[in-house]
Amino acid sequence: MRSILFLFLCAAACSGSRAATSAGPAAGESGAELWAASCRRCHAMRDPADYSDAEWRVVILHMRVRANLDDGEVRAILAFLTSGE
Amino acid sequence: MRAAVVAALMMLPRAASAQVPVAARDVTSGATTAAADGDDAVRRELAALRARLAALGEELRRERAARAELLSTVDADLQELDGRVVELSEQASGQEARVALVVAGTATGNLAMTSADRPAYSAALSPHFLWSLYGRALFEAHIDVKAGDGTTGLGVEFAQIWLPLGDHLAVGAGKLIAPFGFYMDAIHTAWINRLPDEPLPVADDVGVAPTHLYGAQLRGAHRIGGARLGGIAYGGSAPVLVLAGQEGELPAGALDQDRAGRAAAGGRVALRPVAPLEVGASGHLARVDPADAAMVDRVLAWTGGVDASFTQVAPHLDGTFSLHAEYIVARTNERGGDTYDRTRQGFYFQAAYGPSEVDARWLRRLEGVVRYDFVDRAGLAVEAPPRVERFAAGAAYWLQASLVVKLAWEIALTERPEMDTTSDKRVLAQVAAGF
Repeated sequence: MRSILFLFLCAAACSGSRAATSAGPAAGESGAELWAASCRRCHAMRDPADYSDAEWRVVILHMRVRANLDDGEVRAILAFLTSGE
Repeated sequence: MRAAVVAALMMLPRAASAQVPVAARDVTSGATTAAADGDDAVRRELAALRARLAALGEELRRERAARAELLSTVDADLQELDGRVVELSEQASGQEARVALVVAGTATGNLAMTSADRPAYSAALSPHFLWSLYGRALFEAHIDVKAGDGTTGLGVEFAQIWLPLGDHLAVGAGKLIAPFGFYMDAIHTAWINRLPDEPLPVADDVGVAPTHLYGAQLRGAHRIGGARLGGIAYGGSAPVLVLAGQEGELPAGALDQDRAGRAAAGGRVALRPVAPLEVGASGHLARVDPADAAMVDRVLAWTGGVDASFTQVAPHLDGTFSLHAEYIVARTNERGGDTYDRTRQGFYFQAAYGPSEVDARWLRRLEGVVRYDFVDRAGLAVEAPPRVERFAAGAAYWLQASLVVKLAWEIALTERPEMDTTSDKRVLAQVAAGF
């Protein structure tokens, strides 16, 4: 148990520099960054082309609940998914 | 302007004649004739200029009339287009405002092989209905249709309605997956889970964690500087204790999660200090004695758990690794007796690594996984509690983000007091597709 806790702490420490330059939980994150940071925690990131814009508007409601996203994050991620970029 | 030009031209003959001195008219007849000829030429040229000017004026009037008509036509077309755009926009807005249904879900094919038994095959189709009401409320339901070894099963895993409350909260009600811990709430779906089966502490029938309840939950999250703090609170029905003499598929002392008994409440708090790391703590308290049982007094079951998850791209390792761990302890306590007093605990740790940053595309799709888990399932005080400990190692090959082939080798050690520890090995294979 202690070795596993040590492993998590090491991983978190090693990720410090990466987190500072990647999508951290800071205000002003782009929709793409939030999409990567929020989705990758649980599953591989699905292609935005998997769903139409109207379908993403429905799916994002489900992900708001599952990933505990707030309204601003949902809008930013949805704008990215439906931007076609 | 044109009128001024014409007036100037009209003035030319009078001016020309007015400037000729009287004395010049008295010149010899030859000079008079020459002057008269000159006047005629000027008059003819003037007439021609007047005619040309009139023609130009007429042409200008025709051009202006044509342009005015064209502009009028273009204006009419633009107005029609504007109206059409407004009409289409209203239609689009109306369609967004109407109910929108998305059918997602998971399909799996499974194979389990042991040295002792024949291979076991099973398949499942689990549609997940997402029904958006005016872009705000969401109704979702997950149906499981399973078939295997001559049996079929149909069940509703969850069905709930969600309503956002402001920017940070959401309230839901219905049949819920108990939002206890991390695994069941976030990664239990087959096309997300990296191994073909579930960790023991959260598995069906043998698990320690609460699984389902009928009730309501409130979720929210808030940023605190660079960190994020999330919380869930829920309440609803409790599982029902299987009493001695009422055993069925479950032994006495087990909690039947498929039955809705008295009341339960719980919650989870999770902190994400940095983006890749989340740590959480969960609690659950339920009164599990059957409502119609006279043989037992109140029986309370409390469950506590801690969890941690970490997912990060590691450039120096050319890949992505993810770690998940949960520890759960559950205690059942009977007031006025100890027949159903027992403590159960379970733990799992799972680590996965995939070379997601290498150049070879086929290699980027590969992911190796290892997992260690155990569960102590205490039965009645008079029974020997079995402990099951497992080690699994496998690989997942991601054909797409939601299409995966998994292969795993697993060894399970079962300990029973006063008995030899038994080991069971098996190979598991699964194809899982999320749609």
